[in-house]
Amino acid sequence: MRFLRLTVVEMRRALHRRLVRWMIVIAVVFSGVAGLIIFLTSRDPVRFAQDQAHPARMVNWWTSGNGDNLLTTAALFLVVGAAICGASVAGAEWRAGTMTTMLTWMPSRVRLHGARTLSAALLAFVISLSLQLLYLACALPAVVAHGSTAGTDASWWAALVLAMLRISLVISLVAVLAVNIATIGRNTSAALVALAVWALVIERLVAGFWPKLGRFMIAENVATVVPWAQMTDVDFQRPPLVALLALLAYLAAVVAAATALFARRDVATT
Amino acid sequence: MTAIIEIEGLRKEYRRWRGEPLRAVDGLDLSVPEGGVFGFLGPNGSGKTTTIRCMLGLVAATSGTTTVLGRATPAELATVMPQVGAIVETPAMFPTMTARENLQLLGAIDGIGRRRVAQSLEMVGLAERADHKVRTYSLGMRQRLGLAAALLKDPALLVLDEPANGLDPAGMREIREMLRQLGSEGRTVFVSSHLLTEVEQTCDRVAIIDRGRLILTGRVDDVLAEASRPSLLVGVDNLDAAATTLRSAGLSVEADGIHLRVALPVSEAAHVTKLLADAGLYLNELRPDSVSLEELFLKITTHEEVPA
Repeated sequence: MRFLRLTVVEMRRALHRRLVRWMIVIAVVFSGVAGLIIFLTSRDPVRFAQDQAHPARMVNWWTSGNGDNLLTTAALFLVVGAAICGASVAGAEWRAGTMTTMLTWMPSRVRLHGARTLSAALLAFVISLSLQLLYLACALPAVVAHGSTAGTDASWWAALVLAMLRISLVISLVAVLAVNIATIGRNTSAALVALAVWALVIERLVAGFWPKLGRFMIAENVATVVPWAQMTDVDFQRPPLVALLALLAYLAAVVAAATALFARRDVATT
Repeated sequence: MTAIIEIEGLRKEYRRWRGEPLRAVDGLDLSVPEGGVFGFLGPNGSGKTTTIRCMLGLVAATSGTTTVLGRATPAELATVMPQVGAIVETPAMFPTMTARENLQLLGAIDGIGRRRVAQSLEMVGLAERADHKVRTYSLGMRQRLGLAAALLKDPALLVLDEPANGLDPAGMREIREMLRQLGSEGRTVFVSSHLLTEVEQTCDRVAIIDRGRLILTGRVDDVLAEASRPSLLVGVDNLDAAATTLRSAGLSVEADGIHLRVALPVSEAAHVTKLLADAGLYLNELRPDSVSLEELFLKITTHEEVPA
């Protein structure tokens, strides 16, 4: 019961962070602007007829397998947002000195870290799902006014919903990863730099020089889980379920390391 | 008397990248009895805050044991902390929230309701500013908010690290009275401070530490009485003549240019009065030569004599 209360407290605290609020506002504005662009670019019937991938055709919101679609674009921005917000939630705690305050109320560090991690996962999941819905809703006027819903049968809707849930799951994992890296580094910026260096430099170098090792990289596994399909144009086999389990295993290792460090660490400054 | 805090052989060393480890606490033994206000004194860097952090499980002791409310810490902190309210250094709250929201949020962890939050804010004099964002608060107001947070649990033990930091004189007086009241209600208030006059006026008992070790501990009155020399301070217009008169009567006298210090207990004050009056010298001051806590503290921690 106390753990649940603590988790709710952690969620309220995270939502009170200005950065988190600003990121949500930016995402909402971005969705509105994207909707406007989709609407304006679908007004010319000739050009629209030539552009079969235009998101005013609802079927392009989500295409099964590896392919460009509206949701994948959203997922990229959400990943970045989740990393920044997750790192900030944990990193700012050390900078602001509120860690001492929290520990005088919840001395069990494992529980405190567990609640923080769980709250980040839940918040990221719910917020990202809501933002995906908003993003798609912003494209709806263009579909209604100029586009079509051709090809959106029940199986397509089911695939769309599952894709949104998978994207939210990945966003949730990224937020948890960021929280835990920031807990290890006790710093928001350090966590973001570490994540960026890992994802954009180390993984790309490994995948470039040793393509077969690509199946162990986070980016490749994410790119398999989101469409729930084997990646094309790669030298390895990675079924989606194995990719998901690999991501969960990596995350579990990072969470375990962060929890162990946090449980032993001296909180010696306010 | 039951000890509410028991510290035995506490040692804390901080490892450093270069050089020897920094020894913040060096074999500290301390026993804090239940009830009243206990002052924990020491110069900067003497290990006060580290001791408090060890007690509250914020830092791990290198060796030694700490017991709070009869339970070993940090092992049993989860059992103990619901009965302990604490401020460690400047209390850090969530700046984008109001004071009330901060307390409601913390209280929610232990299921503490809004009425108790309002009471705590009232107790520390923050009720009027309770709905203002904490980032607009002065240091003194943040200190009061920290105190309100510590009081929120209605704790049996309050551990307050420099609670008067940043408070104006009126605020310090309010806090002093509040601590006295809390101590008289049967709670134990363990307060570390460098404001010695405050401690002398507020605390029933005191411990002084230096370089991570306990130097002395006991009731404030007893500690001061033990440190004071049994002598009288005498003020007269003609110090030289008075000194000669008293010395000729066989008394040991020292002059500091303002007073004469006569080596006699207070019970012999009448003897001094008579000797001087017989010599036509009339007193304008006569009082026991007591040592203040500040003088004692300086003597102990700077290894100098008590100022004359």
